[in-house]
Amino acid sequence: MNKDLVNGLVVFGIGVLAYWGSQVFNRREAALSENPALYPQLLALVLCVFGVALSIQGLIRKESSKQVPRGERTGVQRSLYVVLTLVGYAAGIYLFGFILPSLLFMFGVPILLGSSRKTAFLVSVPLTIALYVTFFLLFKVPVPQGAIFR
Amino acid sequence: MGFDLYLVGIKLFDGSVILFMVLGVLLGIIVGALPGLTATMGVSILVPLTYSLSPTAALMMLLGIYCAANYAGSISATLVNIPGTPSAVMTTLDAYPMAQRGQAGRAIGLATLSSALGGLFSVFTLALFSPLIASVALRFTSLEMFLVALWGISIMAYVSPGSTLKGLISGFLGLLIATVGFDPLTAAPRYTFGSVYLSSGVQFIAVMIGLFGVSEILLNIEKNHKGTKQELFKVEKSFESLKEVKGLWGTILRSSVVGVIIGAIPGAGGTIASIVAYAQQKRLSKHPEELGRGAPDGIAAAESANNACTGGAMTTLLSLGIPGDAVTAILIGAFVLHGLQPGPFLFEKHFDLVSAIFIGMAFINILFFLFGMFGAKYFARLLFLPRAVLNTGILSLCVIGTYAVQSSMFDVGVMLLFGVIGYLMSKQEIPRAPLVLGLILGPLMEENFRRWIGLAHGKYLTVLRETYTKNPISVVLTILVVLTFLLPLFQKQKKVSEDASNISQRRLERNDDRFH
Repeated sequence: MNKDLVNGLVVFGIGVLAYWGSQVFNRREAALSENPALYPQLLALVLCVFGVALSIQGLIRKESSKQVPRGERTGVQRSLYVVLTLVGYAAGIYLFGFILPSLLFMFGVPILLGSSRKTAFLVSVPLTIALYVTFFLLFKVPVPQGAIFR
Repeated sequence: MGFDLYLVGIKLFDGSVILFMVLGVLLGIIVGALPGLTATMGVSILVPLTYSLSPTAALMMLLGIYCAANYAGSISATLVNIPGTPSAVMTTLDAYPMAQRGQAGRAIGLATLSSALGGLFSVFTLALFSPLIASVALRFTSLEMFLVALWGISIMAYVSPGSTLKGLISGFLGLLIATVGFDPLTAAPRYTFGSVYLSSGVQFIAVMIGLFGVSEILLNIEKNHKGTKQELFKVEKSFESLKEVKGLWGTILRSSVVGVIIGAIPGAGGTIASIVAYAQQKRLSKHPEELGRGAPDGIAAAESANNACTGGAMTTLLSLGIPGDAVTAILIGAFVLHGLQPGPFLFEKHFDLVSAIFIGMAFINILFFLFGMFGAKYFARLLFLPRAVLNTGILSLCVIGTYAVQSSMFDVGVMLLFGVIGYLMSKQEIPRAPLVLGLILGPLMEENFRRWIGLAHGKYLTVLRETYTKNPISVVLTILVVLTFLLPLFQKQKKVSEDASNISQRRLERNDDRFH
């Protein structure tokens, strides 16, 4: 399916949703400048117009349907796995604090990205310590302590 | 203000400020020298680290990363024919052939010297022009401030690679996201869905780290850059290139002027500046046939122009609050994190900090010159770093950095969401920088738009007519906005930024194939 046509429809949908969502805080009785919905509604309308324009552009400029190369598909899969790992990592540091999930993350992701287990093992500890020292000791920025340890 | 503006900032420099400035320059060289990592990514993921620092130390560190990363792209451009940052793409054309002739040290020396001179020239213009522009901007009405911000977004949409319409969509999405949270005038909650986390709006640092940190790494992972496996050229006799500067003054000065002007155009940035300066050099050179075969003036033109962009971009940022490129858009976030708002009022309220920025940027250019001259051969070894490990470290830095700003896991979620959104935007060829600019300029635009509506008391046309007849600045700004919206009709000009990204992309892909 045409990329720009789909993107245009998505943008149009966002505009419609934003306009519809602004009804909750729309104060028609207030002066125009004091209506909190005025500005978001204008933006939503502009987005709808842009969405329609992009869809029309997509319809006019037909793109050739090209097959996704196999290498690229594996690349997308790899990115997807990393996103899932990141979500797990974020949940992990929320529950268990910085150190343990970071060690696992620094060990697991390099393997996922093609490094050997030996390399991953050798870098996970120094990388975790380096980040901890940089944030907590050098820059005095808080790192997550873990909800279950609080 | 007077001449004090150029000296008063010295008192803000203590040991820690200098330490973090040096650290910023070192980090900048590391980020710049590694292909796949950009100044935008480096600054965005390191903004949270500056949270506990003084505003001066924080800005010096981030400016150090910004300026040094712009320069260090030339290291890998010379040694492995891959621009470390997109703005070094034109440097590869002459620096790599020079390195192939066994003169890698000369090429890096020329790039370092030209970058530093271009950067210093841009600091001079920044110090000269930003107070003047700020003094004019202080007299701007609300309509004019609104128009300036709208022009900033539209021009960034225009110069970003890809279709202008997509750039505008990105910018307006940013403006819409900026409306989330309590309304600044009536305190009514907007698009918060009852969540307390959204009541103060979407954390822009989380958005920036997601869009420029996580999504960039995801794209790198997808392409599977593994780092270089080839032998590097020996970097020797960098200092001998200093003797060549005599014959390159004209080139460096001309290209620096180009860099400053292009840097001041929102969204244009170093890549376009180096392409334009290189093309100009080819036109004016007595031996145009030598450019592209290891000519010193090719390196000087590209490098002085891309580094001169930093001062140009900072000029509009400091004087108008409108960033000149994606990195300066992120720097606004750093200013705000420290309770500062860049723009004309910064000159009135934080006179000493503005002065410190002028002084600091000059020192940063001198610092990366010294580090580059003495240490390029050591920084070159970074190219051997396993990319999988580097990407993992950066991803962890993104998560921890986002959490550190407000100790909020919600922000981490926002960052991850925008990481995926940024990745998808890139796949759909929708530029990400206008979204960040829209998000940052959104409150300023809304405030001025509604203030103007409030002052008009319903007589919009009368007030508009009065404004245009009394104030020529409004007329100029309106023409600029209209022209920018109409510019897509002249697609030939747009080719410059597209060519830049295409050259950069082709070069990366070609070298990737060679290394694997």
